[in-house]
Amino acid sequence: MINYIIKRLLTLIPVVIAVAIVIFTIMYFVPGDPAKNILGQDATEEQLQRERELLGLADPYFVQLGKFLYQLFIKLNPGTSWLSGFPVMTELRVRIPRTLLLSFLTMALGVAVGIPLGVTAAVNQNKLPDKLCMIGSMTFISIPDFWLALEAVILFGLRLHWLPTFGMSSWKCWILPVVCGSLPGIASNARQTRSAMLEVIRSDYVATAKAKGLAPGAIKYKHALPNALIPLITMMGGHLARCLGGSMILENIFSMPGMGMYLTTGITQRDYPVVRSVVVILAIVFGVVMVLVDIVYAFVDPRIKAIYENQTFNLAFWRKRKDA
Amino acid sequence: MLNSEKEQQGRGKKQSQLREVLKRLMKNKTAAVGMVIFLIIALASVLAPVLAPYDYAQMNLDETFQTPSREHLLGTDEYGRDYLSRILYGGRFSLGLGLCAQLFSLFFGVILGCFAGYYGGKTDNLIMRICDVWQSIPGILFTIILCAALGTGWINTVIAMGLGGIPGNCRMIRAQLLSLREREFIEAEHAINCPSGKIMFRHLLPNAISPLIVSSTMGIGNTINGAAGLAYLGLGVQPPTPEWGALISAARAQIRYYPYLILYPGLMLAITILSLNMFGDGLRDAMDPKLKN
Repeated sequence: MINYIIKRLLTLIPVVIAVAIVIFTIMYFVPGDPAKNILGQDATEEQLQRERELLGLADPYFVQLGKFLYQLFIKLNPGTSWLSGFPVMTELRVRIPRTLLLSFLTMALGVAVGIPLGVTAAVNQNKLPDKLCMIGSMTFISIPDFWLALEAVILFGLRLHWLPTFGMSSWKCWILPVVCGSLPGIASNARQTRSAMLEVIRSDYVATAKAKGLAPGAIKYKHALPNALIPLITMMGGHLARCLGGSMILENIFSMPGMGMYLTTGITQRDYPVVRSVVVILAIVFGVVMVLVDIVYAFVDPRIKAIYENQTFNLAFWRKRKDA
Repeated sequence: MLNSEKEQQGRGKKQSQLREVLKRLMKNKTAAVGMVIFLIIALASVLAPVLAPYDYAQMNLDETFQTPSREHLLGTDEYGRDYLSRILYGGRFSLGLGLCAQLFSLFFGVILGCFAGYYGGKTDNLIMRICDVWQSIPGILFTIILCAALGTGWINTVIAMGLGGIPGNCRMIRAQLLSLREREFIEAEHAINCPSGKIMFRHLLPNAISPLIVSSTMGIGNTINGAAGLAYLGLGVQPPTPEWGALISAARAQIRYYPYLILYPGLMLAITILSLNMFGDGLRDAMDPKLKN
């Protein structure tokens, strides 16, 4: 198991480096002159040239790329923001926890509400709760989250004055962003739980349980539910990725100074060190979460754990999978 | 599945798969309603020049921020432009964006996926590793970066949204082809020395495309949603263009006093995406009855 975890974490390294190279290359070809952006329109050509050399923009592509990778991965110092002059690292240290907290809260709410809803729907298939749940989830999957958040701001913030609509000064500020951000997640979790649950309910061992006279409640919650949850764990990675992406927009709507705000202002101001490091860090977070999901998956499902623990079997298993 | 096959044989005529799918689709009320709503919205957008009471860009500074009235059914915005006309024309930009971006990613995804799945070996490995890196960047983040690199505007948003969808489509086609290429009819093609291109695109692709059609239908809705989000962040379509997300973005400054400017384009977005999702769900069930719960 430990071998497997280490192996998975090691495969992250080339991926993260590749992401860094891709981002660097994309940003390298962004039209526009950062030096002009920093010094303003009236700067002379001489000043611009000096600024470009100072920022290392006059170097050829490969030299710049090498310096960037060296600074980021070996010195662990993503540089300073070109516009504010603050080190990116100090900014990130404050902002990363905020964005992660927002994403985890939206995800947790999505799981905590979505899965019970899905189970209720599946247990009462084709009855009223099921239909309500399905109509509701279809609607909330379709409503654009940023629009929903704006409407919530209008209703609860500007009309009713119940909740603050910007900043993060108290816990109340988190209610609107977390609730609005989790609604699409709740909806998709409910749908996926329902279909996973229905699939398990139709399987043979549930029929056996019914035949030997177990109470319906015990069958549904003790026997069917744990197995229905297994496919849902694989979806948690994608779910968290969506929450991370969603927090980029939520932060902008609710003016929360996290990574999303940092990234979007970095993009509009052509602050390359900021953009690059935020993207690489988010890619690392994303990759680690995916590994974690796989590990949890292995712990929950003994069949998969067995595969990982027995390396020879593991190889044979994958070879079979590949051939199939 | 078996039943319907028996039925067909019993009747002595074989219906085409398309007609079978359409029949199942029309039986599904949700899907039919979704399709009708979407067709109405699409038609309204196509016929916008006929239906719109005013020119969408015509400013009238005497009539700014009019509440809905008989002259302006949905009121006017901060430059006195008729909001109904702007929303009607906005449908063209929003729907067109969703459609074009999906076609873009479908086109390149299918080509890459066909090569990976058909040739296998090194080609497959290379394409799949590229897809791995591509997909290791969370979707919206990748689109945001591409938007930053390509710049704002309608075409650039189409490309940015489309590029993000390529690896998913590529994987799906590849997986289909991996199993299909071992089938007898492909062996027969090889035996008669059919050119690779013809095998890939004439014989393998039609057999592999149906799950992609479903995912692309649902994808149109997601793309419209994502593009609206980008426009809201100021990275997608820019405000003078009446794309629905851009309309919301432009109306953000008036959120306190004229919230209806945010309400209407958002409603249109929600209804469009909802109808597409309803239709897509039904389409998936109709194409593969085994999956239906």
